[in-house]
Amino acid sequence: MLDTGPVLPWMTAWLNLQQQLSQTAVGATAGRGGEPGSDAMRRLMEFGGDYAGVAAEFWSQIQSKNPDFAGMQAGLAERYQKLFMPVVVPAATPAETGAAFIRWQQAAERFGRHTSAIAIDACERLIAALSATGADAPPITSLRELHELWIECGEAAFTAAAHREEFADAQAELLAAFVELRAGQLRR
Amino acid sequence: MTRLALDPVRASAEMDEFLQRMTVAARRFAEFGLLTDGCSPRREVFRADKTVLWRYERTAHARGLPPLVICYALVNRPYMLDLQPDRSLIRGLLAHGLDVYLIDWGYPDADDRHLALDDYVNRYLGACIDHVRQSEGIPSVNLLGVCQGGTLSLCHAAIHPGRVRNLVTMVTPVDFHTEENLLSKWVRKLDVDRMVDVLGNVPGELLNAAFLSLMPLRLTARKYAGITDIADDRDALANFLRMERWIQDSPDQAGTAFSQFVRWFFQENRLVTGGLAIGGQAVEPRRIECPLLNIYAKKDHLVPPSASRPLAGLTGSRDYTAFEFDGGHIGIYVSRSAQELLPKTIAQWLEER
Repeated sequence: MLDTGPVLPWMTAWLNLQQQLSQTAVGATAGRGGEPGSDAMRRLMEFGGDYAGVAAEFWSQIQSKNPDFAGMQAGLAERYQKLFMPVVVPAATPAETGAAFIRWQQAAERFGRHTSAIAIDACERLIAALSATGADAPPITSLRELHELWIECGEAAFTAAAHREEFADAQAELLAAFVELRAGQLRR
Repeated sequence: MTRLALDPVRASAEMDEFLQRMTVAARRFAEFGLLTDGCSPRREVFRADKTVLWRYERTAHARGLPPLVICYALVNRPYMLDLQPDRSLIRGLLAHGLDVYLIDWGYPDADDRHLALDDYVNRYLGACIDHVRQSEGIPSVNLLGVCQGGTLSLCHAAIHPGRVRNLVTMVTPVDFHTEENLLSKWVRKLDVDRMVDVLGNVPGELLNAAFLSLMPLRLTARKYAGITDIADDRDALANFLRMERWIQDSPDQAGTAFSQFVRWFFQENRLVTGGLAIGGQAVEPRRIECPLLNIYAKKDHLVPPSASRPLAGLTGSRDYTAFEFDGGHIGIYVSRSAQELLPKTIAQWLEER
């Protein structure tokens, strides 16, 4: 569900989209070799939430005659960070204990620090891009253009960090910790 | 001062329309049934365990060339080469008068956990090539290796040089340690033996997530935003859905083969540095003396050109041709320019040899 804060004028359309997608997806066969439509719809629904969420973060600035982006950083960073986290590494269940769980927790925290730093860098790039002037910085006149800038700034921040050795180390440790957690689950 | 010049009323209307168009697209997704594993007429001519060799029906006058055997990657499904009639490298090759065979590795399951690179490179690929050689009565075939399948093809050609008359590699990693290769930087850190020891086969979802993580916003958010541009176009939506299905359709990887590929190629870069042996047989690229066509994509984020280009000086071939395609790793299969350029380039290059 979209956490938008103030009531947004396009909220009805968003709720309608969610409802439509949910109804359409029900009963469809998901997975490899089956109906690909339901998987695609699920991803579309997630994307719709992200897209609307980015717009919602900017909504008060869009309405303001003197936008102030500094106050938006936390909300934007949170949205960026979510996109930088690997989706295949599941959260450990509360029932997990022991060395493998502690290792996984530490690895997740370590990797989270990287993605947090990337998200903050992405926000700074985005705010700098929005504040830029000159021929290379034409006015942003549509939400789609704003979203494109959001993507480019996020991607640039991610690329800068993802090539570093410490990022690869943290990611490998997260996967290794996940593997050990899984090994413990299989032993039980 | 800010570039943000959005009119609230127009922005609201834009968002409203964006979401409505997404709804339309989503509804249409539900209308599409099972999307096939390719669109061109073909028949199974050989099978070894889960590996299937398909032969396609030629659609043009024969050029009289040895058949072209396509060896695809293990990590994705080969129907990307025959996605739909207007986006099919295979159709393009057939239309240029080539006889085309395609190797489909299938979906490995728990029974395949111990399949090794020896099985794929020597046994299955070898058996497919031998089948074509015997059924066509020819000593050697033309081999087209795609992506990881190109690496496997190079290994096969190095071990069994007499079986390959001409070798075409396409978006094929050769030097795994170049600066631009982000996937390699990540994979080099993995304790892959422990991973395979615990997981057995490596889940396709894990690989797919890694591939998408290379450009986490462009490969997801930008792609989905584009759906609203094609919401009214049923054909374009069907194309999108076929692509989407292919992207998500990464087979699980046979544990032993995966572990060997990661260690020998990604981590130790043995194709370049030496010391590679598969099934006890040395893989010496210098033994490849057949003509080589190396096709790579200028904007490839998965196999950067720097990973493919070193093939130039690696083999013993005195007939090496490089072809740089102006596109990315996916575009080289399905873009309109690829449909025009690649089949023609491959067919002409083969005909000249």
